[in-house]
Amino acid sequence: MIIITIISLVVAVGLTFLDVPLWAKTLAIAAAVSITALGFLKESAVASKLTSIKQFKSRHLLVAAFFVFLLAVNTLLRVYEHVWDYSRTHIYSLRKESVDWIGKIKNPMTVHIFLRSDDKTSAYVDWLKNSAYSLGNKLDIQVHNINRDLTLADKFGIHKVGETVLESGPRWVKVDDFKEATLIKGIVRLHNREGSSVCFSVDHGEPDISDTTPAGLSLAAAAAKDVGYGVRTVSLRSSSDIETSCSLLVIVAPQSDFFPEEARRLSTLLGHLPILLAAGPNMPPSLSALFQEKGLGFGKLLVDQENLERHVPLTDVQVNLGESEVLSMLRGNIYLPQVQSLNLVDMVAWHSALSTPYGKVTVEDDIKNVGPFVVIAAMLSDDGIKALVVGSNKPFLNVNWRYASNGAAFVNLMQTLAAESDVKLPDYGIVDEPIMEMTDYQSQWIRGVVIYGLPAIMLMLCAGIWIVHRRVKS
Amino acid sequence: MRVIWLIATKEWKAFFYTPFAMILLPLFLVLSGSYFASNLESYMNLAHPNESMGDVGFAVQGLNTMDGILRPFFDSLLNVFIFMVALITMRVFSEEKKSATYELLVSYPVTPGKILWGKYLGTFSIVLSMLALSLVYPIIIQMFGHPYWPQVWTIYLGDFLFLMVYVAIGVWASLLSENQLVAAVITYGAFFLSFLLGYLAHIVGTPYDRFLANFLLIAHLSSFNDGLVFWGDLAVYTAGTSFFLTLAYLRLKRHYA
Amino acid sequence: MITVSNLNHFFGQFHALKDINFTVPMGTIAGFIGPNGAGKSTTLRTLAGILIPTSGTVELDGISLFTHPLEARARMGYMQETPILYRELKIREYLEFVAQIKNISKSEYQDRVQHIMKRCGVAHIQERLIGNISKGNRQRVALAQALIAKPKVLLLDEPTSAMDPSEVIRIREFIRELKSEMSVLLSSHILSEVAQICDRIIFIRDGEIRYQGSIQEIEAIIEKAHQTVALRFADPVEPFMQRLQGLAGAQILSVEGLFVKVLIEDDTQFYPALYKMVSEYGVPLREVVAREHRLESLFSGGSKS
Repeated sequence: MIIITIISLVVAVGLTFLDVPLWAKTLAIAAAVSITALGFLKESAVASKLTSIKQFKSRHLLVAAFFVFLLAVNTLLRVYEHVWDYSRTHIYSLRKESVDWIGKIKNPMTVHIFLRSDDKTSAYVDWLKNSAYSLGNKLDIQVHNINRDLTLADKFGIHKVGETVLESGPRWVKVDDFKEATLIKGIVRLHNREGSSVCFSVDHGEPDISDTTPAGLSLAAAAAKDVGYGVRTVSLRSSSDIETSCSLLVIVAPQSDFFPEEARRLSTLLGHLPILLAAGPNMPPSLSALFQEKGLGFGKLLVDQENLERHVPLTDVQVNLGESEVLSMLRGNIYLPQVQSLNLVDMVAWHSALSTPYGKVTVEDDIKNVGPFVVIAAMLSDDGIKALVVGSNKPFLNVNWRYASNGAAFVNLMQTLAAESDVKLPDYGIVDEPIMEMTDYQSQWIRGVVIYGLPAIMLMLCAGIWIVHRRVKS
Repeated sequence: MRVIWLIATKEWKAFFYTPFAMILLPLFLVLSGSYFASNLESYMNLAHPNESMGDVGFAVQGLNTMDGILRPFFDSLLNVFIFMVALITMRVFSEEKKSATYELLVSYPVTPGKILWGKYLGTFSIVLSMLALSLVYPIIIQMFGHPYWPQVWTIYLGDFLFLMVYVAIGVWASLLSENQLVAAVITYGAFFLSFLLGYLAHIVGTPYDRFLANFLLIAHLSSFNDGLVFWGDLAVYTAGTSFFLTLAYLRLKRHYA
Repeated sequence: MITVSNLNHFFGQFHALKDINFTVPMGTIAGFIGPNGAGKSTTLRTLAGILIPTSGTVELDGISLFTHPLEARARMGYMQETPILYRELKIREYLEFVAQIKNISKSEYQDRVQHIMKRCGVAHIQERLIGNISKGNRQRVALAQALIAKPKVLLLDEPTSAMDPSEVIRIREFIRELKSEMSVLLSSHILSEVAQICDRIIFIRDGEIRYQGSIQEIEAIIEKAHQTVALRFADPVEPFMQRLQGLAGAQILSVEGLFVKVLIEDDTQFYPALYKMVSEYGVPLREVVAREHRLESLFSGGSKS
């Protein structure tokens, strides 16, 4: 009997690894389980010395029925799964905005989630699938193995586990994870970018977007595509659809001047989409005239040596850009990689601190010596940045720059600006808790209490109970 | 019912009137306290760094007391429980079997069901009181910060359910042997077996992996730790408890034809 | 009233109890005696509900132990051979626990406990931990827990083995007082005790009941069936061996030199025949050594009755 049981178990287990049809596996497992169960029953019947078969049967049948009942209840509740969500970040509840956005999807969208094989997030993914299904089934959620589905991973440039790609037709957007907020933002971007492009101006000696040399813009163009935008070249003279089909206009290092009508066109465009202008002090005169007209210009920015710490914003900076109120709105809206939100003067200070540790420097010195571009001016509106002027006398995307992240910085600027023109993204602001306020002294004290104090109290309590009980009352 | 209460309170007496409580309860507090203190310290280092540490600022984003202190702490707390509960349950029946008090108990007009419930509830309530003791730590956090209590309560719910099964396993194991150590080993063994089944889930093909994954008792806890109460998990834990209690009952019933 | 019918128990292949049948009527104290390993403890434990026999029935106070386990146990009190109790409890706490488990009501149990402690002689140490008291006292506590619910059936396994003589006398008196209300089955090695206190004897050996009956009945049987005498002759016995073997009412057991051991089966026939042998045939008998065999003989040699 034992031998048969062992054989059946081995066969069943072995079959699960092999490539046999499902029914064969199920059959083998069912057989193994029944044989084992019978074996147990037989042994227990002998051991329990029950006096009648009827007694034996009734008791064991009852127990067996009970176990089957347990199994049934479990399976039922797994199939008709319901969740009570008490998580801080409300992982398992779709917000109304999310539901709305999913409803707005017209064309079917595929969500590619890249995981490793031992990832235990399958329950969440299942819930996602169920939710998507119940909301109209326009989202097809697929889970891929980051180690096995290599062609897909390469196509989308997946490097990290959890990265997710939302794909709709030829366009796609990559996001960092598959939490509700991130997914919805991705959907929004994808939705909005249908028909959206990052437009690079030509005709003024700008670098070419297919130029892969360090002086070219191929990386910038690729980066735009990377986040789901189309890439086009436009001419301020001739393209008439810039307002409708461009999310961002990028003008990089124009060498020749702009015609008056181009400048006027630019002026009009400022009301419709953000402009990223990468130029230097030797900007074409009509452009600088345009910006000065808008209240921006170049000048000297002085930096106070004393306050060069990176994370402390400068307070006392002499700014020579006139009394433009635009300048006062600049703070907090410059984006660079690695550091999330640094205001203009901080960034200036940073560059300056890196380049010349002593003495005061000016922005022009920066541009000449330091190399990375500096944001010189920005034009804001209520909705965000309308134009950003970055200056440098060096070619862009030059990997020989002292600060290797320059290309990435530019790309980041570009992407962020383009995103500004997207519809306002849903704010899933989970209010971050304020950081717990505890002094070191308090934390030391707590440490002492929990490691020494409480156990000691408990020890005394229990010892007390023990001793009192043992005392004999006469 | 009175009998169940009687047996359960006798378990408490056996716990407190012997050196057991004196050793285990402070030990529990020392272990869990150490984990708590170390989690607190790492949080403090991240949140309030010394000014001499330069490169900081962005790391603080997303660092709240829940993820920063309490969740790692509750993970460690679970380990403490896994270690200690077996020590508490091992003597439930083993001690009685070794001495002849088990025999006497059987000769009394009590149904085996009541004996089992009394022992189980008595032991489980002792373990629950330890769980309740651990509330001290989130309360400390509450005095200084803002932990998100609904999630904390779900974590406690998850631990409660897990301990329900674990104590059931321990009680059953102690019925199997007269030797307390053997009972403890069986308890740990059963627990590790659940790991084995859980890992099998990764190798096996699709239809079975979800089924087998249910056996890994602590896998379900991860969703409770996130603040999520899946009905399916509730069912698994109650099923597990019923399973082991039934096994124990069958063993116990052997004396009553 | 205890009624045991066709009780059989196998420990694996070992046939420990072979078709045990006996009764203990109400108001009697039955002594359960037999050599070690005969099956006394096994039987007692079966009656206490601790062992489930392979086959057979047990009725306690008219209630079948196996079909109505709870009611049967409610009427029974059991005292173990080596009483092992909960060492961490005080005597009073322990007895209160037992009293409540045996369904004595809330209003009564404390008084009951005090009463039984006095009768059993442990009231003066009731606040002491069971782990700290002497073995004799533990036996008294064990007796107390057996008696506390006024059982109709009392099962005592070596109840007085660790007590000193004065205690033994007290307990004996105590049990005698109680016997009118219950059936008592008492197993013991101490034959003098058994003889003093019991009304009936049940003798078990190798898993089988050899004798059961009142003390007088058994002693008579023993006396009759188990009287052996040694006949001492002056001369070697070979010449008159045949005559001896023909002795009526007797059976030659053995010949050792000048001694012949004879089992007297019927002394009314034997002695006259012996006298005749001596007087008529001149068998040189010098001495008849009689031995007093009472209960002890049951434990040594001896054939079935």
